[in-house]
Amino acid sequence: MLRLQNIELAYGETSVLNDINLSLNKGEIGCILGPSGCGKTTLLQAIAGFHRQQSGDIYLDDICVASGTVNFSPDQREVGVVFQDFALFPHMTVLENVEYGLHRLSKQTRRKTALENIDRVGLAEFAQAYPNQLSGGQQQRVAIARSVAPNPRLLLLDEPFSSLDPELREKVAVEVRDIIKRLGITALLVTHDQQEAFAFADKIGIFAQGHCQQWASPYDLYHEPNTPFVANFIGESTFISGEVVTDPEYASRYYVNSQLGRFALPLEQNYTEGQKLSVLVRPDDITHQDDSPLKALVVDRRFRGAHILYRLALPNFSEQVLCLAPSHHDHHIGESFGIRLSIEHVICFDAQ
Amino acid sequence: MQRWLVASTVTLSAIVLLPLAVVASSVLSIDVDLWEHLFSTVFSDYVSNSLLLALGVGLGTIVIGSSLAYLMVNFDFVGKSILSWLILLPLAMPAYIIAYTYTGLLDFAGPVQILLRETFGWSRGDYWFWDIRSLSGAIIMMVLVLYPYVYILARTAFAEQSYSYQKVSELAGYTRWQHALKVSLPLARPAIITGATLAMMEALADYGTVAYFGISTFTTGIFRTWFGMGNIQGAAQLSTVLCMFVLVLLVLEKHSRRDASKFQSREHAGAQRQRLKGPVAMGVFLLCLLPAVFGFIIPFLQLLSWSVQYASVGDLSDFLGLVKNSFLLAFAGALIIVALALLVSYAKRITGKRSLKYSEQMLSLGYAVPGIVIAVGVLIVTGWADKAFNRFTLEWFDYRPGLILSGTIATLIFAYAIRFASVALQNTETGFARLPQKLDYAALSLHGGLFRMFRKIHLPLLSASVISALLLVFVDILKELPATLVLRPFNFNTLAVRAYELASDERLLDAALPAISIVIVGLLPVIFLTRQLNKSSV
Repeated sequence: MLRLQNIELAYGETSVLNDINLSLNKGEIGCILGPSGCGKTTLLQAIAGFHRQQSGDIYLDDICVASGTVNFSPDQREVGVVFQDFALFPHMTVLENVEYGLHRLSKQTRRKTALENIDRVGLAEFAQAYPNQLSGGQQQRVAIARSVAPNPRLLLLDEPFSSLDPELREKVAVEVRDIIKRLGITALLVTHDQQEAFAFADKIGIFAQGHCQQWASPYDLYHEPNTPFVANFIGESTFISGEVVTDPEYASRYYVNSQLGRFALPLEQNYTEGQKLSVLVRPDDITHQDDSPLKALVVDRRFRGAHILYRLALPNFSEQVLCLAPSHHDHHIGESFGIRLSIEHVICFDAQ
Repeated sequence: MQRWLVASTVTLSAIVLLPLAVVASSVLSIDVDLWEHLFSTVFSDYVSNSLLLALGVGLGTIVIGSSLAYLMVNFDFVGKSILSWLILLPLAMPAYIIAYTYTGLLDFAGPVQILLRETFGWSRGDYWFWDIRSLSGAIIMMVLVLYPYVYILARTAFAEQSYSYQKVSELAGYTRWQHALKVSLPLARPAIITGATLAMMEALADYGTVAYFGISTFTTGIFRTWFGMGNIQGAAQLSTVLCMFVLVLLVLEKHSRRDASKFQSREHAGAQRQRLKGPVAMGVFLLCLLPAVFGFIIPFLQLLSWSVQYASVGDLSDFLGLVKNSFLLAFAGALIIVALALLVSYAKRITGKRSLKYSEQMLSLGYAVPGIVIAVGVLIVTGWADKAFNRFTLEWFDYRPGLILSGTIATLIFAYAIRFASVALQNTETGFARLPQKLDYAALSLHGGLFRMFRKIHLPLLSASVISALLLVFVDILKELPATLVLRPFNFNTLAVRAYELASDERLLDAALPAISIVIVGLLPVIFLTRQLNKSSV
């Protein structure tokens, strides 16, 4: 449905996007997640047609809408955009706002389509209201009705929840997701908020410094991060150092030796013996067990209601890991803490 | 301390507002003879001329001001930064001065007509030439110096429109011009109307231009009724009618301001400016330059050349006397008025009393009242006070001191306070609003005393607001004409009065030096304003 190939974009000398490749299937919701300044909004604007990429192709429904030779104008691309500030026209009613994008239709169809779309977001009774009479969440839904009314091929959402109160954000995000899924619209969301991305998206692209680090499902991002950046960015993580070794009994297999023991490395990758690695350890990779022979020292603790997140120093004190333990296992700083490993498959990166 | 603060502030505000109340109360005793006379003769002229003048100025300033603002916000072109300075310059040019300058240029004996006659060999009566001394002339003169009122507000309104609005239109396939018509202009409409109402109030308040052009409007009528017929009550009643018109504008202005605040978007990411190149850019630049050329550059150069001519033949000591008078008057007035404004704003902040909020609001309306109306009110009040005082001293001390208030500098400053307290208040109010309330709590808990807090905490923090208030009031007083003309002490002349009188006597050359002095001093706040505006929106 949406396919980006080798997108490069720069403002003058400063490169903003480098070699971006990603694709979305029909009805899927994608998300571009990254810290501010990573180029995510620029990518959205390139897809919408507000910026022209220097090279690379953008396909919508297998039609090339932007490449070296083709450049569709924003309205020819048939995308809808929900803006960060919603950009509802304050001098128009909800109905007039939604009708604004339907000016090519005849008058009756225009009204009918607009009313249908207002109804679909559950605001039928507010059709004659002005935006400033609506709550933030309602304005958000008007913005969505306005952008989906022309029946776009793709809906782009630019930080659509950031102007809402934090308490509202997740609730509205779920509501909006339901609306989009119900309408069967393909959508791409841009955000810097992980919770929002996880609540919203089928596929997430992690952006940093103009590169797409990984384009995958939320599950894969957490459990199989491609780069240390992704591992750090998604969820809490620590790294411990390790060294590649071989086992004479299994010649084809490589292992990594670390303070926490030896783990088998994935078969599909190439290693050399003695290579230094960083081993990713998630808080849920470490299970607390009072009678475990493997002991660590509690360095810090964060109470989180149902759980306590412990920061633990490993026996040689030079490395630390995190452990999420049930709340009733109450240990104090300086206490000894029994741990057990439950790493199902190990994630390693080259040591830096 | 608090009670003292409230009492003195309310009393002072009441005294300042007394003349307006007196003018308003004049309708209670209608002078039937006068009104019969007025209705059968000039009243319909007053109404139609004043209305046409206000409407013409409103329309003209809207067209020029908002198109300039639109072009400046939405396009980038060579010379734009120079333009952002030039466009506001006409603000420094009082309408009566530009009026007499253009009269000198366009009169039968002026350079333009001489040039026409010489080129085409015409003589008197051979050709038709537009008479600048007409209603259309007055409208054009005022539009030329008042369009910045609309421009300033419209420019901010356009610049504050969210960047996303333009994209919504782009996505829907509207062109830039369709977007301007459907979204940009409607959104800026309240701001544009606010600016136009301010310009129209100025037009209704104008005395110098219409008097010089010999047009019968309310202001000249009020002047004539008092000066010519000696009927001060009649003048007050005419003033009330004029104030009704102003009131309509005032309501419209307040209403538009409310609308404008509703239309503000939450994100102030300015619009995406389109870069213009080549002949188009040149054309837009020249188009935007026109108002400044006609509203400032041409009249300024003309005044300059007259001043240079005058300096070689004229009497400069006379001029220096005028400068001294004007500056001292304006400075004293500015100090007193800003002190009043500080007192009102401070008292309101400290006590939060409703009576003080009303005082502040009432005082803030002074800008809307025409100077001639204020003059009439002040005349009545001071005359009455003088009479009462003389009666009192005669009865108790068998002594008549004569006029103590009427025709003094104090009276003049009293009138200025009514008209310009709003200017000072605007600055002190925004200044105080920027200081968080916590500051007061901290100051009071550390070291009590309201006066000490004001002196040690507020005044230093407010210095920028106070200086800008002083500057604005100073320049406004320097430019003020009708009230000064009516209320000034005998034989006391200011730059504005002298420029007007000399011009009225057709001594244009002699009038140039005082006139250009006013313009040059008037440039100071314009520079101030331009810098502020450039910082905030472009």
